[in-house]
Amino acid sequence: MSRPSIGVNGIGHRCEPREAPGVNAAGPTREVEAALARLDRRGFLRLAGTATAAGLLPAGCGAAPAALAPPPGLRLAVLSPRAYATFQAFALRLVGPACSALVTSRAIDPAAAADAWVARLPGLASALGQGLAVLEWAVWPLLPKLAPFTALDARAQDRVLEDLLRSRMAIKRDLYRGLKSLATLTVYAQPAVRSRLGHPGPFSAEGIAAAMRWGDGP
Amino acid sequence: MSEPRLRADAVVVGSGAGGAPAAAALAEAGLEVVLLEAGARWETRDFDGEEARMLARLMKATTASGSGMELYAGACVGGSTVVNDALCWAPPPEVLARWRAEHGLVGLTESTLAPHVERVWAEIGAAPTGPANLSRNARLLEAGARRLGWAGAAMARNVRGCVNLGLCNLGCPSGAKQSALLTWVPRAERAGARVLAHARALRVAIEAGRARGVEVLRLDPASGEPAGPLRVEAPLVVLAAGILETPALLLRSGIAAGEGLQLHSSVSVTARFAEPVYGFFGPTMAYAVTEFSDVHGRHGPGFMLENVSVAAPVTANALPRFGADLERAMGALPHLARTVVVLRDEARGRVTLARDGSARIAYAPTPGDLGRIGDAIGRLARLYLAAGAEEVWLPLEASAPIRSEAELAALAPRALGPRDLTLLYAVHLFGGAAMGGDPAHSVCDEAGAVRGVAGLYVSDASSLPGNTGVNPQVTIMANALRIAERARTGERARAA
Repeated sequence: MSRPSIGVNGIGHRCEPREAPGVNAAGPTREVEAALARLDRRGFLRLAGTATAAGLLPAGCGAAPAALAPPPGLRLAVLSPRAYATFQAFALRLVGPACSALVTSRAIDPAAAADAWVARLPGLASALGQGLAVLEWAVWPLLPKLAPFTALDARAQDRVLEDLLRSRMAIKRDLYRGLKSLATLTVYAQPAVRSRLGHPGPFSAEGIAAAMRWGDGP
Repeated sequence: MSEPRLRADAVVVGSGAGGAPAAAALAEAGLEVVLLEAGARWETRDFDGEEARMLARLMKATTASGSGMELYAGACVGGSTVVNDALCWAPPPEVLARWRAEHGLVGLTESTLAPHVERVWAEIGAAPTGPANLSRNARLLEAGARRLGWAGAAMARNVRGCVNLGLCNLGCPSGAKQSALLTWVPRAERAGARVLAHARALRVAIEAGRARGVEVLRLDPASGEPAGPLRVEAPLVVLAAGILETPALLLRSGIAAGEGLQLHSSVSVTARFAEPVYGFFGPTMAYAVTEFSDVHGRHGPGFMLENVSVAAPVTANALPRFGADLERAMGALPHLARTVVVLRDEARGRVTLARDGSARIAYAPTPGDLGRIGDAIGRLARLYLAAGAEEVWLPLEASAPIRSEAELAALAPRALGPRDLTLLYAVHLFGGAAMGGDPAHSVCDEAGAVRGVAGLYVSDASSLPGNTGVNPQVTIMANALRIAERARTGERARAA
């Protein structure tokens, strides 16, 4: 008998703890709204709110690191400068060196795009702000670390992301997933990024012809 | 000052697959119809293929508590038919038989649905997908299935003159996709129906056990902010506001609803090939591996494998890991192929109301559902390796790409939770205001009439008692035509 493995004999399943129902359904977006809505758990907000009240979690204010600060003249609708910087730092680590170079050169600005995106979703703006605050400042036991996320070096930031995505705590993985959804949208939907990935853009006749060419097979 | 009022013979809430056909049928039968849509009305000329802008304009989403599953729906005139992948399947006989046996819908047979299915098929231009619309992305799925001896077929699609732009689910810019925006809605308007966009239904007006109309909140088209109340008075009210909003509307109107929600769960597997695929072009979905389906004559575990567009944002979102690993995978974008699992879930969820009256959903796949997802992604990996893929990415967070059968076989068995998956989402939803023969266990009777409230009907997927195992738009539209007919004749008989 072959060894059991994914896809051959099926696999088992670990039931995760059930949470109390509670997600608002409103707003005109797709993955981003959905992913951010997942951050909007009462328990999560209560945790962040309690931490804020206890002085453990700054309420989104404070100077952003200069390299990550919003450019002069950019008017943010939803994000604080610190939240802007935190999202930018997350996006930089998420997408890898080439796309990161587009961010640092200001060719694209995922945090500004995220701000504009969430500005249409007032119900989720607070969840995003709280999520970014937790990522930046840490609320034990969510992200035990000694410095703000934006102040960590790249390897330490990567360790934080690894901690989030591998965690057994649903809330930590929800935080990672929500921010990842927003970051992938605000980075990979940009024409400047698309063209670097070899996508000729919508309506490319040559691209369409190549996509439909089959011949004798692969 | 009293609120503005409109009067009509019938008001239909929702302009998608469940609402627009009903509005057209009622209008063509001579009724004065008002069709309400909470979203905006965009036309083909507004569809420019830019993903971020189109997603924001055309869709809404939420997540389910208990699992974090993501759920999407259209939010514009035409509803989800504007943003679906144009796939057309006849209602599966096995599903109709199950609904008859388990839900007492004795009159819901292939023969009673047949004329409505035929009308839908013709109206939306459903036709088999030919070679000219099978992309490399689809052909690779087909090639892998053939090498493994698995059944599969090109799916029928509702298009006329498809030019393979790969933008079916962002609003088709060529006008080829025959969504409700281009078919049922204009048909309803030609018959005199009035379409009101930016009109969010708040509750059904009920007096003395009878529906009298719908209380509406008009929305400012520019800001989306409330712009004032409106009351649409009509003796016939048809709800087709979608899986979340139809049960929520009923609940806000004092009617018990929301139980028994069911859906199709979905994850995707991505593969890199040596030769370019350009999977972001061509129909967003076109070929299905039906080997593991449990409908339309198949007896598998209950999932289908359907090729899907390699749009950059969603592809990146579904890939595991981040940073250099993600960049390396995305750097091969023109060489990537992608397929989704469409699972016929066993689980049931529910829609409830938040304190502010908005809809909330609670849903978690069962252990059996997650086991079948694991089965499906493993089989998809095998298929892509058989088709010649150099690397396959499973949708498991933190996983490494698979390069060989040996690597796939060496994967340790693992228990999956919903959050182990990079992107778990629902592609089709059903129930929450289901029809049934037993008054104790169904919101609507077999005619789609809400029990206990005369003149109130449900014609969207909320009225279906379970999932279909196939892309459901034809089933939803055919059922909507059937319910519109039953509503019209039933109300006429009641009036007589």
